[in-house]
Amino acid sequence: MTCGRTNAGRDQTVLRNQAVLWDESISRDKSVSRDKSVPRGDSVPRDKIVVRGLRKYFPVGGTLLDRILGTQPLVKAVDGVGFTIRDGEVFGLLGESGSGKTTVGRVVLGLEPATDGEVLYEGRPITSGLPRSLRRSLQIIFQDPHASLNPAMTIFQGIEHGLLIHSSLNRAERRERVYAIMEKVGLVPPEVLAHAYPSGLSGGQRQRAVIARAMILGPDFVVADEPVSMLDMSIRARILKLLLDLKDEFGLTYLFITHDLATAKLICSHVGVMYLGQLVEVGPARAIFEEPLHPYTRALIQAVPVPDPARARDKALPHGEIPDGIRPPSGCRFHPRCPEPMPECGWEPRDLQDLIDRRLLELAEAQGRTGPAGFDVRMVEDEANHSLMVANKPALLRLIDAERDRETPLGRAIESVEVGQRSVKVRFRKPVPIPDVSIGDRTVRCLRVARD
Amino acid sequence: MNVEAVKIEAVKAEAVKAGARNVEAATVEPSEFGKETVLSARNLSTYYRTKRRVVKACEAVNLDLYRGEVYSLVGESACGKSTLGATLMNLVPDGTEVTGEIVFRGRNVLTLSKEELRRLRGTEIALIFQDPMTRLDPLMTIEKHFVEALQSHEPISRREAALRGARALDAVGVPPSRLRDYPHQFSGGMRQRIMIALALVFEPVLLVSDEATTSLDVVVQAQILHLMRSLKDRYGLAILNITHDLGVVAEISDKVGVMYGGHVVEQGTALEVFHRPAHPYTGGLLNSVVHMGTTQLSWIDGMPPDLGSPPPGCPYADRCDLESAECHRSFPPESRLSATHRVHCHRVAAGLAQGRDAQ
Amino acid sequence: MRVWTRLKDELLTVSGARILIGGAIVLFYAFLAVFAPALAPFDPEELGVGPPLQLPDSTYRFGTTYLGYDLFSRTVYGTRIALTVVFLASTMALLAGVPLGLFSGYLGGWFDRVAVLIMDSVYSFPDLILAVVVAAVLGGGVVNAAIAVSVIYVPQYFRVTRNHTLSVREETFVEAARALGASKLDTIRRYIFPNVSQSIPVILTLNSADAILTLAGLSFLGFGITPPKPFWGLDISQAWRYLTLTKEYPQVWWWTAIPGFAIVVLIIGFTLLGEGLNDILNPQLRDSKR
Ligand SMILES: Nc1ncnc2c1ncn2[C@@H]1O[C@H](COP(=O)(O)OP(=O)(O)OP(=O)(O)O)[C@@H](O)[C@H]1O
Ligand SMILES: Nc1ncnc2c1ncn2[C@@H]1O[C@H](COP(=O)(O)OP(=O)(O)OP(=O)(O)O)[C@@H](O)[C@H]1O
Ligand code: SF4
Ligand code: SF4
Ligand SMILES: [Mg+2]
Ligand SMILES: [Mg+2]
Repeated sequence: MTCGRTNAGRDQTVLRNQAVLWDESISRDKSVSRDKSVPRGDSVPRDKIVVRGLRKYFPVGGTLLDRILGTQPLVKAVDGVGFTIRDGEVFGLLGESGSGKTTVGRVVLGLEPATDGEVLYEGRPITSGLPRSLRRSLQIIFQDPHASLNPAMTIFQGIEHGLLIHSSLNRAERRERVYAIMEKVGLVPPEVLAHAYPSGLSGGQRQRAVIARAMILGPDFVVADEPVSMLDMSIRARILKLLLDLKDEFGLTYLFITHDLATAKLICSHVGVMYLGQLVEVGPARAIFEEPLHPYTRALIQAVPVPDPARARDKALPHGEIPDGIRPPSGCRFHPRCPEPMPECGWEPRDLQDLIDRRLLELAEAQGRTGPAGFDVRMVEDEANHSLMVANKPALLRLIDAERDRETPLGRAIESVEVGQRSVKVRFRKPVPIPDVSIGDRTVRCLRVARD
Repeated sequence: MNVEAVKIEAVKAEAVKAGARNVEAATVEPSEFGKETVLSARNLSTYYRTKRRVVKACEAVNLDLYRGEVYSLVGESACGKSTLGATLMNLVPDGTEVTGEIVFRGRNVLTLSKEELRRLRGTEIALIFQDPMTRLDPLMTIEKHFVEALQSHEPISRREAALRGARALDAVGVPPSRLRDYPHQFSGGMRQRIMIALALVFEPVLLVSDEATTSLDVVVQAQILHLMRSLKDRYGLAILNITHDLGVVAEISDKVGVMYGGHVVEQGTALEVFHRPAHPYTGGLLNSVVHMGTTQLSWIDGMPPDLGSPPPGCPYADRCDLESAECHRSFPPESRLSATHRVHCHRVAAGLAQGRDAQ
Repeated sequence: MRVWTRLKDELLTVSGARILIGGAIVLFYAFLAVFAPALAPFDPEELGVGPPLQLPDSTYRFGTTYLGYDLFSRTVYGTRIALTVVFLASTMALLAGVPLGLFSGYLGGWFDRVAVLIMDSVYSFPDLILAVVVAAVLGGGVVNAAIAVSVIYVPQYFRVTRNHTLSVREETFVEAARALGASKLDTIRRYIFPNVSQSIPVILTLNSADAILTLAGLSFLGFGITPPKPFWGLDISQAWRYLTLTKEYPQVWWWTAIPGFAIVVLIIGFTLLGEGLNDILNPQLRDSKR
């Protein structure tokens, strides 16, 4: 897809007669015609969306005083994300739950102001909100088809509303367009379904209605936030097909958010893998799926279930779960779960605590009992010094010595151990910044990859 | 869907061959030696009665669960999977008509009193659902959950209950030190583990999981599946796993039942169902899974039947590429392709008969 | 429309029975109010239509008061005043409270904070005292009484609407409206209000029950409805004053009992109706209560 949608729908190869959903003549904002600012290169795909250094922090919890003073803890939902989506691409944003995928999508669409960073649409900055004339060019399809339709509006009213806002079409014209798009997305017969309420439709039909609502405005960039993850498997394939067909027909560009790697592999041309608010690997889908470089990407791909009992196997999964975004791990955010970390990856006091927890578990398992097993887990953390103090010296010292002897990355990251009167002070190496490495048309954020 | 049709042809040919090969085996009663049956259902039907109509959500199901085995029920939405799971524990709403027989370790579940059932469900059968937060009280610590659950079934001190809770948490990989935390302080995956731990304190023999991993993401899901697998090996737990994710099914199942329109239309070992699917629906379902090797999207056209007015014949007839007049008339009989592999499909039955004639 | 189909399904259940009984009672009062001139044998505001303190008999079916008013006529006409005030008060409270709640909840910010502050201070005032103050400032009369009563209820509509708005505002479909580029007003009108409005009939009926009581209290204390207007609370008040002076109770029981009964039954009617509606319109609530 290199041609994309051209002005006023004159490109008949892409927009076959019937398929014109929108041209500038029906727009309310006649003054602002699309694409004026950017001269159109002929065959080189242009940058549709450019995201640079995007950050989004949410204040969460905290006491009333915190709220008044504005010193609430912040969730770093998106913390320095940058990527480029070119015209006609399907860019997949992958990652575990809570990694910030949805937040990226919402900020890109201007539904949420960015804390920092920049979003460009066809070269125009849209970080400070979308101008009204662009609103309809950028649309979104939500994950939950049950929640994203207004229960008090009929399907017709829901789909029509965009036209009411952005066009000066009369009633009959609007109806014609709504019915046309309903047919396009497979909501047939439109005459019947148009007057149903969302509660009267199945999940698949609702998702089609959501798609129709987005498509009727003739967008050229669509954020699809897990558009099929709530759907039944047999409907899933149909909706994916519909999305692909619409893309081909209208020359759309997608930001496709998903945690289903198999789907991403099938339909995305490029992917970005997110972990705890950051992109750890970005590049062409084929290359990444064939040879994932980042340990996290590898782990994700490993974890995908294979629908073949003969090949079901125990996997080397990253242990634990995605940590809290309020105080992300220092250094590489993946280091506590990384299967092959290095001493420089950002070890810190918390990791020692986790180690103690895990060791406790192992001890308990070995001895067939539970409860405290020799550690007093009272700790005093000292962020600034990257050190920690623990009561109960002997057990801790034994543990630390074992780590150092075995030359585990954690053990090697311990810089010094000061044995005090009643406590042990453990100091860790300062984490080094994790570089973004470019390899071919791929970018990977990992120290190990950088070294190799 | 041309590709699919071709594939189904192939599947059918396979099935017929398999059937022919297994004629001998099929006549043997399917009893699994050395395996203890935990639950068996015979000719089980569940009809919901609503004000306007009767929903035949589960119809003439035969099912056996063994110790140390995972049995997975798969199928599209609204095919009656949850209903079957609930019926096995007699957890259906009042006024629902249940016929047939369910024997759980020698007791007929359908004739037990409310109190006996409650005790059974609390202790010997455990249940976990998709959304753990609906089952966890946000105002209670995890410890309190364990204490309340245990004390409602046996006279036991707080301390002892907490200790058993700690042991159960340990078994599912949650640090026992977090016993005093509140549910909201845990992530979704952790909560699901806690639910499993809560189910495990009673050392149940049967664990029923209704879409318990559906809302989790791949890594956590894989972790929980791994956990379930190890539990079944360690404690000889029988697991009934209800899901519509075929990837999950392949990962952990020993047996698979494919449900469609209220019927279990095909069941067998995981290998039989995945490698030699005999029912056209199973084939279509397997084709529609998007997995890492998928190069083209495919699906089954149409929708599952409305169970409020199910068709008289094969429920799949409207969507089946192989359907014949007979399919619209009568529900297909059971064909046994092996001791474990059983299918309801006229085509398969005809193929079997042919194979038998040929011999 | 959807509400109606749901209603039809539910009419045979407990909540259905509540609605039916409550509705019947309220309708009965409405009937009395409409046909009061035909039903009442005497002018309710006319002195001495009968002998003072006449026991109920065939002419004076509910007896007469000390000044010879016919209590039956006053009770029937009292329905008019009661329902008028309730209707006016509820409508005014609703018209002020609901839009304020919608905007306050949706827009947030300083507007919300100021509105909440005002409403909370009004709310924290004891109901009757507030009504008395307003009524004292405005003076007597049906409309003024209605305003006095309505002031109490504005914060209730405001609170319920605002809370509802806050939760609906977070729904994905509201975000979808923003993604379409809908204006704030449009979003409130087409996306928020229809999903918030379900709870309004419930508060409306429940508040009506409360409003009767407040109005009665107000009149009892000598504000709001003033003599010789026929209203139950007023009659009770006068009877009570007379009785405490003369200690003739229980000889003249009818003078307090009948207006009191009229009040109680109407309140029961509104309450049943309100709770029944609540059960049907807010099923989640009902489930969680069990
Ligand atoms: N409005 C908000 N207020 C506070 N925190 C938020 C808000 N929205 C998102 N977050 C937090 O930001 C983080 C990232 O959330 P986000 O929804 O973007 O993740 P996601 O990758 O889309 O996950 P999922 O796969 O579960 O949808 C999470 O920790 C979440 O709790
Ligand atoms: N309590 C009930 N009363 C009436 N009908 C019901 C009830 N529960 C379920 N049904 C109907 O029974 C049929 C089977 O439902 P069930 O929940 O068992 O399906 P399922 O296979 O578990 O689907 P899903 O994958 O969506 O959970 C559906 O048509 C459903 O609408
Ligand atoms: S930088 Fe690379 S090697 Fe180091 S912890 Fe992170 S992912 Fe692992
Ligand atoms: S019985 Fe007939 S309709 Fe049903 S699956 Fe078999 S061939 Fe298809
Ligand atoms: Mg998301
Ligand atoms: Mg279910």
